[in-house]
Amino acid sequence: MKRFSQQFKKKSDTIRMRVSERADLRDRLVAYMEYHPLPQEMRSVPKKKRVAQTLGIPSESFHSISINMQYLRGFAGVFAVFLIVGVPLVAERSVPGDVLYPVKTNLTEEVRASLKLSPYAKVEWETKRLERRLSEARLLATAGKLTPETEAKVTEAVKAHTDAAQQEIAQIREADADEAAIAEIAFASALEVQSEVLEGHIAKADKEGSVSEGTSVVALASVIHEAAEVADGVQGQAVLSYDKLRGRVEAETTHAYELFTSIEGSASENEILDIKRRLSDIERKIAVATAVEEVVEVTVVEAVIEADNNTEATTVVEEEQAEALPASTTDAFATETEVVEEISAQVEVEPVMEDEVIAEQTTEVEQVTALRAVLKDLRKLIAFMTDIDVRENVTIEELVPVTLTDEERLMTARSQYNQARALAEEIVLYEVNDEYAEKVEVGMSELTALLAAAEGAFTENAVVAAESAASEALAVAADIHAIVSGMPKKDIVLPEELVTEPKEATTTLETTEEEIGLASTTEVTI
Amino acid sequence: MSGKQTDDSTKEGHEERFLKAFEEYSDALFRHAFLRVSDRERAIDIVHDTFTKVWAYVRNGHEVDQFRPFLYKVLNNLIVDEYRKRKEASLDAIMEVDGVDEGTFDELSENTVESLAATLDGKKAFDLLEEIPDTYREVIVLRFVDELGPKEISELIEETENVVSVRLHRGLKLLRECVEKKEREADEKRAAKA
Repeated sequence: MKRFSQQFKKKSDTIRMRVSERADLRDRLVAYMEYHPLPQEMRSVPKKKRVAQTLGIPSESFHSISINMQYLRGFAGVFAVFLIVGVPLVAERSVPGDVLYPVKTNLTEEVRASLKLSPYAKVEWETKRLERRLSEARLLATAGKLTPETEAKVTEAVKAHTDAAQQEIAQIREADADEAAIAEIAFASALEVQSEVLEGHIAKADKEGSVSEGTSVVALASVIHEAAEVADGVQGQAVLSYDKLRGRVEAETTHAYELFTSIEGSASENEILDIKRRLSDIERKIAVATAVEEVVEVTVVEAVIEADNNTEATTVVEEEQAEALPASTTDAFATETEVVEEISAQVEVEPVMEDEVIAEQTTEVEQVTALRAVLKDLRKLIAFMTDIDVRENVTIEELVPVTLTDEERLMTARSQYNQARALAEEIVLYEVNDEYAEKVEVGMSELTALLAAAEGAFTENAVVAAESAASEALAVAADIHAIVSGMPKKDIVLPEELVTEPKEATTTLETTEEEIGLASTTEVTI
Repeated sequence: MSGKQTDDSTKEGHEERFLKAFEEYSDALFRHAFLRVSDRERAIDIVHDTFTKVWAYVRNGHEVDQFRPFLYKVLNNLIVDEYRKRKEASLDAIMEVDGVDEGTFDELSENTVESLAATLDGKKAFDLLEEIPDTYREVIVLRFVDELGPKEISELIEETENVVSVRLHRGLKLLRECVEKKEREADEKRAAKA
C-alpha cells in the first residue's frame, strides 16, 4: 500500500501548471478581483471599524483621491516647470522690494555669472549687472518708490559689482595687461555713461519739479560719478600696447556700424544724423592717430641713421686720443683738454638720442591716448545705440560731443575774428575820456596785434593758432567795447588812418554783422 | 486536515487571505482537475472558475474558515458539472447504480483497500486512471493524489464513508483489472510477434 500510494503520488506530482500558466491564471484572478471588489464594509476590517467610529459615515472619497493623485502629479510637474523656467523669467522684471527680486539677483544673475567663462566676459557681465541695478533704481525713482533704504541697497550692490569688476580686471591683468587695460576702458566708459544717464535723470526730474522723497537719485549719481572718476584715473595709468588697442578699436567700430545699420530704420532722422556725425568723427580721429604712427616710424629711422654717424665719430676721437699720448706734457695737456672737449661734445650726442627715443615714446603714448579716447567714445556711442534708458535720459551731445573738423574750427575762428574786427571798428567811433584813454589804447594795440596774428594764421591755415588768436582778440575787443560803450560817440571828424568815411564804416559794420550772422547760422547747421 | 490558517481572518484582509490560498492550493487543484478531465486548458479554466466562485462567495459576506476543503468542494462540483455537460446520461446512470449499491463487507474495510493497493504497481495504475469511470477516479485521486482521509472525502462528495470505501475498493480493483488486461495484451503481442 505504502509503495503504491508513494508511486502514485510521485507520478501525480509530475502534473503541474507551467510557470507561465500559473502566472497567467493569477493575473486573471486578480483582474477578476479588481472588477469585482469587496463591498466597502468588508475592506480591511479593523481599519474600517475605526473610520466608521470616528466619522460615522463611510468615506466615499477614497476612490476619488486616488484619481486625484494623478492630476496632482501632473499639476506638480507643471508647477515644477514653472518654478524652474517661469519664476526666473518673471523675476527678470522685478525691482528691489519685489518678492522675486532676490531670485533675480541671487539666482538668475549668479547662474549667468557662472556661465561667463572668460574674465573679460565676466567684467562685461558685472558691468551689465551694475547697469541693471541702476536702471532698477531709476525705474523706482520714476515711480516715486525709491526709499532711502532701497537706494542704500542699490548703492551697496553697485559698489559690490564695481569691486567685482575691478577684481576681474586685476585677474585679467595677471595674464594679459593689454586686455585688462581694454576691459578697464570699457568699464570706465560704461560708468561714465551711467553717470551721465543719472545726471540726465536728475535734470529731467528737476525740470518737471517732481523732486521729492522717493524720487531722488542724487546720492546714487554721486557714487557712480566717483566710481567713474576713479576708473578713469586708474585706466589712464595703465600701459597699453598700440596694436592691441588698434585691433580693439577696429572691432568696436565694426560693431558700432552694425548697430547703426540695424537701428537706421527705427531711429528718427535727427538721431541718424547725430550718430552718423559721431561715427565720422571717430573715423577721423582714428585716421589722425594712425597718421601719427607713420610719422613716428620716419623719425625713428632718422634717429637710427644719426646714431650710426655718431658711432663713427667716436672711433675717430679714440684714434686721435691714441695719437696724442706720446706727445710732450704741455702738448699732451693741450691735446687732453681738446680730447676732453671733444669727448664731452660726443657725450652730448647721447642725450639727443634719448630725446629721440622719448619723443618716440611720447608720440606712441599720444597715439594710445587718442585711441583710448576713441574707444571710449565708441563704447559710449554703442551704449547710446543699444540702451533705451540711455537714449531717454541723455542726449548724444552730452555723451559724445561733436568733434569739429579743421575747416569747421577755422570757420568758427574766422567768425570770431570778424566779430572782433567789427567791435574794433566800432570802438574807434567812441570818444574816450582821459580816465580810460590809456587802458583803451593798450587794449587797442593788443587787439590789432592779435588780429594781425589771426590773419597770419588764417593765411597759413594754422588751426590752433588761428583759434587762440581769434578767440583772444574777440575777448579783448569785447572788454574794450564794454569800457567804451558808456561813452558818447565821436563827431564825424575822425582820425584819418582809421576811418575814411563814416558811411563806409557803417556799411562795413553791417556787412560784418551779416557775415557774423552767416557764420553763426552755419555753425548751427553743423 | 491541518488547522494552520484558522486564526488568519482577523489579522489579514480578505484579499490577502484569498490570494494566499491561491498560492497554496492552485497547483493541487489543477492536478486534481487535470486528472479528472484530462484536458490542460479545461483544467486551468476550472481552477480559475473555482477561485472566482469562492471570491464571489467571500464578496457576498461569507466567512471561509478553511479554504482547502471549500476549494475542493467547489472544484469537485465544477468537475461534476463538466461531466454533466459532456455525458449527462451515463453519469446519472452511474450515480444511480452507485446510490443503490451498498457494497460488500470486503469492500467496506480499509484494510482490504490497503491490501488491494499493495498488489498494484503505482506507476502503471496512475497511467490507467483514465480507463476507469470518474466516480472511482474521483475518490482515488482524492485519496492518493490529494491525500485526503476517508472522512474528508465523504464530506466532499457528500456520500457516506462506506460509499467512499466501496468506491475506492472497486476503483482499485478496476485499475488492477486494467493493469492485468494491459499486461495480457502486451504478452499476447509479444507471443504473436514471437
